Amino acid sequence: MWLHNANTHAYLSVWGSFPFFIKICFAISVVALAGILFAMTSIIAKKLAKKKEEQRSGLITERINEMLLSAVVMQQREDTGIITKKDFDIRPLYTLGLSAKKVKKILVNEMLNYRNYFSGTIADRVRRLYISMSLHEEAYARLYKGNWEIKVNALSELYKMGVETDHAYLLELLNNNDRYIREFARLSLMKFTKRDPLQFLRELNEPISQWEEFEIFLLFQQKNDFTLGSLEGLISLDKEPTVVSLCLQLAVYFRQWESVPLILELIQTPDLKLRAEAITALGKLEATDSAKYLIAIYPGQAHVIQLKILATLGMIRSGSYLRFLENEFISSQDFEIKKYASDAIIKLYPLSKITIDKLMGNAEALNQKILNHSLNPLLNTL
Amino acid sequence: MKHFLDHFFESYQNVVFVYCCTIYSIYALLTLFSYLSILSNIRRNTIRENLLLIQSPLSPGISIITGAFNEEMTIISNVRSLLTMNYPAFEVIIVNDGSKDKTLEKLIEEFTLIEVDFAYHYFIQCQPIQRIYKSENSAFSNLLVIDKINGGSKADAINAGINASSYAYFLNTDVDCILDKDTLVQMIQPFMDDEKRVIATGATLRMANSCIIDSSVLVKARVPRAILPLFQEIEYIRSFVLGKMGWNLVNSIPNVSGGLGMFDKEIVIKVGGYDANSFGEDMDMLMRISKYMCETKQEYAVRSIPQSLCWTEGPQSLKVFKRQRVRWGRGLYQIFSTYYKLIFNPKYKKLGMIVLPYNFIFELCAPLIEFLGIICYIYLIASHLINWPFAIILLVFVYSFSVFITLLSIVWDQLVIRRYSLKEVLRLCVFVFIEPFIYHPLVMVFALMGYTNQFFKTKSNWGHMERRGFGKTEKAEVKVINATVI
Repeated sequence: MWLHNANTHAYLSVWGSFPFFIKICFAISVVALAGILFAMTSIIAKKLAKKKEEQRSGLITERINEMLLSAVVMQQREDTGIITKKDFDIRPLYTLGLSAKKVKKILVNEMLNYRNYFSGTIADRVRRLYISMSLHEEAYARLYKGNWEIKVNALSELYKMGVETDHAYLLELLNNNDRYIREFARLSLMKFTKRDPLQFLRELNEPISQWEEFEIFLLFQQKNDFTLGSLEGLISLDKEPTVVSLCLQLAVYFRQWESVPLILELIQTPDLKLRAEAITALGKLEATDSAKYLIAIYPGQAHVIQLKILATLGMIRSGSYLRFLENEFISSQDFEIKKYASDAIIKLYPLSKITIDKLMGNAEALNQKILNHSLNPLLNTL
Repeated sequence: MKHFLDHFFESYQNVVFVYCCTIYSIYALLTLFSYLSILSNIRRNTIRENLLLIQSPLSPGISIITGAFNEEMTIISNVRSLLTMNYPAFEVIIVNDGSKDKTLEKLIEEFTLIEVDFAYHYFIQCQPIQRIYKSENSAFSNLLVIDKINGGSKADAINAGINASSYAYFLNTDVDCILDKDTLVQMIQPFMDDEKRVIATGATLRMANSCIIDSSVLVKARVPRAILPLFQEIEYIRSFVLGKMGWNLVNSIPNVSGGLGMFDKEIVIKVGGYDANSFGEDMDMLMRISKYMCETKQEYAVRSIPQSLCWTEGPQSLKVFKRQRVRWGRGLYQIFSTYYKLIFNPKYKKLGMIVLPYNFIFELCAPLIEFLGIICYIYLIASHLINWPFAIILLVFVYSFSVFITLLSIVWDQLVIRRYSLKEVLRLCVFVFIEPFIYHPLVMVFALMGYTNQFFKTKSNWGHMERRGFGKTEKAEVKVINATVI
């Protein structure tokens, strides 16, 4: 005992004689060595646990798939009969090594996969099965939890399953601090509003990401229980550019020719990107009447806008401004202007047949090359 | 003189100590940042389904651009692999950079290519284009092959591809890289989802040396068997998963790898494309586009994702490894001789105040400080001025901390990669303990050689790594492992 104390005392006196920075380094080394041990243990433990879980979840996924196949895909009856919990009993799966919560999570993921890859009756059956198994109620419960991740996942699940959520609560979520929550709340509101789903875009004052733009566009593409209302107030200089950009895409997709005057007004925007999108939208809508206006503003426009105008004239296909395109092709010294003019002229075929023949006969080397490029079907496949 | 040296080296010890503590504090912070960044990526991926990009008619087109120089062994399977990417709108542009073997002939034959009258415009400078080919077969309608005069660098080939590209975004990769099928959907995501304008995105690269690859498709990912690629894999994990993901959180990524990077074409053209004379063209590009965004007062972001999407064949011989690292060293030196005026210049925001100062002090200067530190150590030992108990404590401190940080990067990596078995991961971990003694000194020496070459402007070229191609079976794979890389 005495010896032990003497050793301890000696160690402590050596330790005490160490400068402060050495003590710190020593302490950090001890922490690092413990960390190394922890990291190695964690790698081994997690890898083994993951492997086990993957094996179990693989088996459960397989079983769930078999059940879903027979309940919703192989089901011959076209009736709307409800598949009950009793018909789709997942309780035996709880004995396969994963908790009931995890089994349900696998089931919901598989259901979402089915909804992604199937449409019509099968997608609807999956939805009804989801509801009859009260899985939507569990999602509702998660929706009111504080954690953003749980909330956003619940919102996304309900949205993708096509299950309506409490309207008032969704409106409340529109003011949430998290952008993903606001986004899914918006999507859900638009999905389940029949009369004027665009009202939520009208009230929107923040930019939307391109991803959300894609989501909303896809939603409207697949939504068949509504008519797209007027885009007045949405395709506007005062509106958030990202929202306007989305509405331009919607106007084109739904062939909303009544939006053309709004789009023409939008061309005055100082935002070059938006102006370019507006001009392209006119082209895609084949707004013949807008060609005159586009040519009138052409000289004062930025290079990128001039290119868009030329491309749009090709899309409009009226052929009335062939002379303008020909002139730009011949007289411009800019390669891209020539190229875009040439592409537009070729797009106007057969209206432009005489012009093409004339240009091919007289064109100098570069112009000839550009025309050949535009004419080559192998180069215009994208 | 001896008195001066004694005094100098004793003071230098303190400099090294402060330097070491600072860099370790930054590493500790990066470890935390990268963890948060990876978690955020995982969470986002549970919400964002890539299927949307595949279904949406609005998804932007992407041009995959890659240079090929004497790649006849692998070109066909690699191009085929690129053509099967999981994305709705993309084109593949192969720039044959004056190959002396049958790269072009093989492409022409395999993909039924014919020469087309392409109106090619030099938006950015590159060596003259000789011919451009498209396939007559509609199955390969998104393939474009450019035959050009050799420009002596990958940068020149990529510039040639950018000039002919049709889409607003391009992916720069090496033709021998094995890409995951979801590379495009994964890498375009930050461009679509970020609140700022994203100008470049990178992802994690790994070593393909011992992987089982069938027709340029990764069948089984394995940790390299050969020692140099294995160390390089560890280095890549640390650099991509810990370093870049850490910097990602504060939007200060210094580099998007030349092996796999997606860029906003408009900005790249505005800065004049890649610098064909640069030895570090990838980092140079990021510096240029970031500088441009700062000068034009535009908000921007450079992003990195933790997913491993690209497998590349690492050098197995010391000779090739040395050539690669000397070139990287030259590139880094070149970067700072070009952009030194930006360092601590508040006009360049994070680029001037974080990215460049950090990389100057802790990347460029590190081999120099370390080398001088080793000399100092030897001198102190020889002069009996060393305090052994302290020296040992400090060595254990440096060693244990660096091993700990690297192991943590492997733990973080395991959060996103599921391809390796436990045995493979443990193999990586074991080599983490050896790395500081073998690999690290090599990297330091080769970096210093690179600086010296650049300082004295020694003539050098990119060199070329001859490849054996990836086999289909285990037997063929062994061939790759044993191949002598010239």
